[in-house]
Amino acid sequence: MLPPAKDLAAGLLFFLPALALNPLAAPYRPPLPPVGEIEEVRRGAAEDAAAVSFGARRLFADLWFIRLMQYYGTRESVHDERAREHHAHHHADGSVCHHGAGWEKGLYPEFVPLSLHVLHLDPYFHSAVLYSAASLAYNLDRPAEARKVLELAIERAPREWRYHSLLAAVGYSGETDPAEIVRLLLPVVRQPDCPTMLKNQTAFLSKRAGDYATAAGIYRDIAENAPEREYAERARRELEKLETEAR
Amino acid sequence: MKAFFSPALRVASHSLRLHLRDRFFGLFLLFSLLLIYSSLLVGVMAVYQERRALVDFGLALMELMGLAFCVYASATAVSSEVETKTIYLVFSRPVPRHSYLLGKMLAVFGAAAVLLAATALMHSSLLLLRGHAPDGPYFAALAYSWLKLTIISSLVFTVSMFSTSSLSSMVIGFILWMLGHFAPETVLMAAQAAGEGSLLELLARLIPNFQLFNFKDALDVRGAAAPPLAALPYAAAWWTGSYGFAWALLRRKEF
Repeated sequence: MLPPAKDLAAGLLFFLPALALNPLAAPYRPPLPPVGEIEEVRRGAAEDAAAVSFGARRLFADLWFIRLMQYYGTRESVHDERAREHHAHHHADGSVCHHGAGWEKGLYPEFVPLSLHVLHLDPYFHSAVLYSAASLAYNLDRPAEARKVLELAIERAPREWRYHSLLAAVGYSGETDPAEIVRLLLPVVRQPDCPTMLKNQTAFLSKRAGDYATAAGIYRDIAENAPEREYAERARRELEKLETEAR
Repeated sequence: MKAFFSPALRVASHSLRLHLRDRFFGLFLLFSLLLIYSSLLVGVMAVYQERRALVDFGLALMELMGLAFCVYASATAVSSEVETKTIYLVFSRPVPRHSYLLGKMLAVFGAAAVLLAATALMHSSLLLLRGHAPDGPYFAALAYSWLKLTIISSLVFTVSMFSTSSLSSMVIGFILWMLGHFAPETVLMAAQAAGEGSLLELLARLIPNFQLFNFKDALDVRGAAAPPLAALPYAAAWWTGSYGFAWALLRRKEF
């Protein structure tokens, strides 16, 4: 049974201070993009609603980032079986067909939507943004889309200096001298949570620019700290090569 | 003043002991610990973002388990005593209704703090075990989570005063929690649906802005959460509002 209206009205009066404070509290909300700007991917609207309703956008950004890494870590073949068999065969002299750069790299059509989704949920997840943009620019040869990701990230989180540095480095990607790209990327790479892939790319570019000391420093960091075993092993091999060359 | 607080504190300490002995509290605690432990798997999948994944999962799970417990405990705090007729025994003694209500609310706040502290201890140990020491923002996020839990608890207390069943109080509690995380959008939608200044808009404004305390969603962003000097008065205003409303309904309630 509902209580008398008089009691209800009297009770409501107690909420007046809270109501008065509501407009004053509004500016203090976390600076995350509005709910309406979250674009659905993989029919995940219900998940996005849960992320917002339970105040767990960061948690869901982590989940989507794990999905992005799993998606990108899964080999995606763009050729049919016969073409792959032909290109995989060994010639009599032991050589194999030259496939050219980008052979079997995959197209990963969902890469950008997934990256943007992480970005919409948490634009301050700089590691995810750097991973996405660097993969697009340096691994998938899609610098225009890398710039798109970074520009949106800068719009959402303008004070994130790492985004500005990577954007500048991506802008220099077409240039023949990699030294400038290395100069721009070094401060980003020195951050402890920088994606290993970007560290590896910077080390490679340093080597190409003839700056072996910097390359060796980055490879050492990867060999000692990278959680990905493949990257760590590759870095150790590169270090050995650099040391042999130095002798 | 003493006549007001003394019985309230006695009710609070007794109710807190009951909460901590309740099998549901034990279940919530056990379930939280299991979930936090299983979040290790997510940390492994996140590769070089293990710390972030572990922290985010831990904080979110602690808050959600705290929410489930607080909503349940607040919805049943008074109604269960009415059902078991314990409330007659309490009111047959010199315990004013306003002190009884305050004591019950404080007990839930205390139990939420114990639950958060116990799970945070386990989570921090797990983080340390993996080589990630919990830092200042981590503990600040926990404190803000507790403030959120106290607000939702006090609101569910209010709802339980006029709700027909504990289940409906709990459902309303969860709905308020969800709406509170996009409070400005809720007000805007209500104004668009029923017009500005409508009753619906007024009701939408009766939802606290939980984003104010949602520091765990922006741990890396400076100035993301309201400073304590703004958050505490805001929380206090909602405690007072809920307490006052609940008292206005309880004072003439016949058992």
